[in-house]
Amino acid sequence: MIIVKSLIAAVLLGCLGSAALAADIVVIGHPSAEAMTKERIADLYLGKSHTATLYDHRESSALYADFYQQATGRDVAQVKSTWSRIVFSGRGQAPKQLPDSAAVKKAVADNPKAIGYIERAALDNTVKVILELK
Amino acid sequence: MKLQAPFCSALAFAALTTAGQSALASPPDLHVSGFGTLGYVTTDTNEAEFRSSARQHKGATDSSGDWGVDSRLGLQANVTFNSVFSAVGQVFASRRDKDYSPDVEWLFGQANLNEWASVRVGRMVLPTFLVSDSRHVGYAMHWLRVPMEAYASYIPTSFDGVQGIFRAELAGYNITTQLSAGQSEAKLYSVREQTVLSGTTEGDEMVSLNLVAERGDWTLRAGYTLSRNHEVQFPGSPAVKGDDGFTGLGVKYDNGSLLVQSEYILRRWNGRGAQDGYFDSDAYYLSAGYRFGAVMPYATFSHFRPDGEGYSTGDRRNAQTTAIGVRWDAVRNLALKAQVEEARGFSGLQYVPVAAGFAARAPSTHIFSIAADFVF
Repeated sequence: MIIVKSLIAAVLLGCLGSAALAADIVVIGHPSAEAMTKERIADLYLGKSHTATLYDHRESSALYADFYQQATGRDVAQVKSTWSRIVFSGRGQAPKQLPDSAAVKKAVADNPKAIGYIERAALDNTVKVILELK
Repeated sequence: MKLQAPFCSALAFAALTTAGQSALASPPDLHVSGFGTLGYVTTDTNEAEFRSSARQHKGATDSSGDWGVDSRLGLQANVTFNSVFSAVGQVFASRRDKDYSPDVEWLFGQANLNEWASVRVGRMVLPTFLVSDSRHVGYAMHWLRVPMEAYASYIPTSFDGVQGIFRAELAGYNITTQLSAGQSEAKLYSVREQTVLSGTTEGDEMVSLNLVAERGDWTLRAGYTLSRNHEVQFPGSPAVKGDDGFTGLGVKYDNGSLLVQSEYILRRWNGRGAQDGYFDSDAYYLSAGYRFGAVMPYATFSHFRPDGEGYSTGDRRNAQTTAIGVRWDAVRNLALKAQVEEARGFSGLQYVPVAAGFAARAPSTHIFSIAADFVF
């Protein structure tokens, strides 16, 4: 019963979440990284350029959907379609999906070529903001 | 040469993977994924069978709808050994070569020399056209299938050899250059006097250049593929030999809502005299669609103009298809599509004619297709 209730609660929360305002997201890099344009981030996250190691959030997360909408103007299905073309033509692998902002932050802080995105609230000085999406 | 090709690929693959393993610091990262389409096709004629590739020996009619024209399944494994070595294998099953048995579509090892250059060895896709490398992946495309007028004249879907991939950035454009060399062989089915014949198309000296420039909403593409001393052979006929060249120009614009895509393809056959121009043809298409949320209606016009005598069966008539359709991203990782086409003229590529005189009359026909495309 508890499981069922929490499932219902989760679904309700999910609905509320998607109805609420889109998250305030920052694109982050290693502290040594330089700022980037939105166009450049979109090219990277849509597989047109392969010059960075990219980190993603889970495809099912609101943060993932919000990020792609704000940075590339594409919805989740379009992003999936785009990466399917790249993956199944052997040209590359979609960005690695990590469970939360803490994991993305850690991965980006460890690698000068890494790029990720997190909620602004999760920001600290281990990483640098290379693009503000809002 | 025929047995050698897969053997060479396997050997090269083994060599690369061994090289990868010896440089191992941590266990290799394995990623398995797949794609597929379940599709049904019917038409308004019983005089000919509609197919989606010259590698299919039969197809759909009015009285006999067909699940085999578009249905297919692919499984892919990507193995990353370290930052330099990786390997990709893909097994693909569809109706071709008279059965549905799965084939090793690709099996190649890749070495990333640096950020800008990589080398592949094994069996790979040949980027002859704009979407050659993903033409089986329905989920990655807006339309139900690639336009036959443009894509059907190039029969093989993969080749055995080597490929160099070079990336550069120029004036904000991400430029990818692919240089390929190797060999390919495929079966094809054609019709003579109402009998479906099985032939082969084979090239042992193939080279290809593919240039793609991408930036923001734009993708521009130019390519040239040449198969020297290419042979097309049907039983009971002398082989047609020559240099088979494909030149293609393509453009795609996709701003997230509006999608426009077009290609122009010239095929020129140098038969060194007697058979010059045997398979010459020109083809183009224009496709456009607009996304309304998860629903995307689109229309495609495609045209094929045969110039050579290789396009037998009576008159060398232009073939053209007008298609309208819709893609609906119904649930995650699944797209449903419906497409209606009007085909005019007869190229011999998309119909396996069964009735006498069909090719010569080349009546206008209609094709009705539905499909579910998925990835996993």
